[in-house]
Amino acid sequence: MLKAEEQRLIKKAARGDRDAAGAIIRAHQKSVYAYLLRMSGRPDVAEDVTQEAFVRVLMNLDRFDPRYRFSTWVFTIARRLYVNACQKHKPAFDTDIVDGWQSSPCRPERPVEGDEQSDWTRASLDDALSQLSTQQREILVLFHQMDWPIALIAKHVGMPEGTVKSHLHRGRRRMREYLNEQKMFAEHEWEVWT
Amino acid sequence: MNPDGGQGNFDRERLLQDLLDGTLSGERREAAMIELRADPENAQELVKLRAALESMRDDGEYAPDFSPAILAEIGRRQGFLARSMRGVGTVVRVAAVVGAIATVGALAMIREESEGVLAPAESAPMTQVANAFERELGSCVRSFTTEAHQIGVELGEIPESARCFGNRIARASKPLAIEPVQEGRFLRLNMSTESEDLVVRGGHIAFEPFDLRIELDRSGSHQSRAAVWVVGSGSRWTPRATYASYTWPVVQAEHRTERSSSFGLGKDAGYP
Repeated sequence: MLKAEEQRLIKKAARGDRDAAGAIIRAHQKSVYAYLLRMSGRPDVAEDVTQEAFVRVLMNLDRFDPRYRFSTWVFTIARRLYVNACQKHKPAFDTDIVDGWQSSPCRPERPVEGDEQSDWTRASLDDALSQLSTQQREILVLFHQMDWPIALIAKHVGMPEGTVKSHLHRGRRRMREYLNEQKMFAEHEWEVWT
Repeated sequence: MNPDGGQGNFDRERLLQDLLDGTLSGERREAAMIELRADPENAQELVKLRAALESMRDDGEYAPDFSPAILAEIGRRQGFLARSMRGVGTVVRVAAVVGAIATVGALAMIREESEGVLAPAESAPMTQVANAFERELGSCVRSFTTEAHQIGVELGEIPESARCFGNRIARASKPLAIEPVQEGRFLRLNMSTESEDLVVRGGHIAFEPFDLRIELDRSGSHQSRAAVWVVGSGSRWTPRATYASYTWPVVQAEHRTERSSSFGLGKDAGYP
């Protein structure tokens, strides 16, 4: 969505325009949900936090500073809610997350199932990500899934850029070691990433 | 990784990380690819990792549509907040009682130190005095609160650049939350909204009785007079409000039209 269009929708939504509010939600909900799903490993947690994040966002639109990216603001609120939820439910929440992540019993139902290879890849990816620390996982998700630059991630998670890079590199190394142990992704062609 | 020694592994690891970071230029990227392809085992690992990282992007393709539930929830909360605002009066009344008790308690201290304050006659029970203050101060607080909230609402309609109060940009907001706090002999209302300010920074007002006088004559005509500083955010708001008596129940609040954090409170009871 173009920034000018986004600003227009934000102003309208701030005045109580439900259509504008709906458009804002639909423009950002996928990425926020995907981020939270990756972080928590649980669709129910991701759904709850996503909804609450947008409720907070839309009820506080007057606080948004248009000099910044709206999506970053949304993610910041979502992240804070997620962290708060984790702290509130510790230690059971963490255990649940790990359990849910390991067994993946409740992946969201997708309208169209992928092919066998992609399902396999996705399951392996979930397993690999579960091997990482929370910080490594979050940074990896923001960098590789959301395509955020290092500088923005650093600001989002409140770490120096060098530390973010360290977490990113360690996380990828750990993932690689795990995937190597699992003997997965073996059939992909080299050209996939050339 | 290829077990061929420390430095070689280190270099390849660094090369790989740089490649995945996307920080290599086209030429260096090409060279890195050749280097990493040289070892088949090494290359196989990298393919796995790359495939895994690529697949991460797919998860953003599907998410339920949350918008109906979110909009419904917002509607529910806004309805709740609207009802909460109607309950503010109750909160203020409680606050006023607290303030009245604090004020009356302070009277004991004041009268020992100031000749200007007359001790109540024995015919005036303390509860009556407290009740009087509950009414007066409560009314005062309610009026002020209403005005403050009204100003907050009005501010919402003013372009942000024009919202200058006390040399600050004040972000108007709603809803208004009020937390009464007793601080010594002061009644302080911490007022907060979803944004950081109400009218002035910090969003609080405090009713600080700097002089208090209760006069009770033997005929039963009771008058209480108090001069109150209305303090907001640590800076005094200009008017010195004088209100008085439970025999003069009219206490009005008004805010002056100029935007200068200037509020007049109360009907002048003839206090000098």
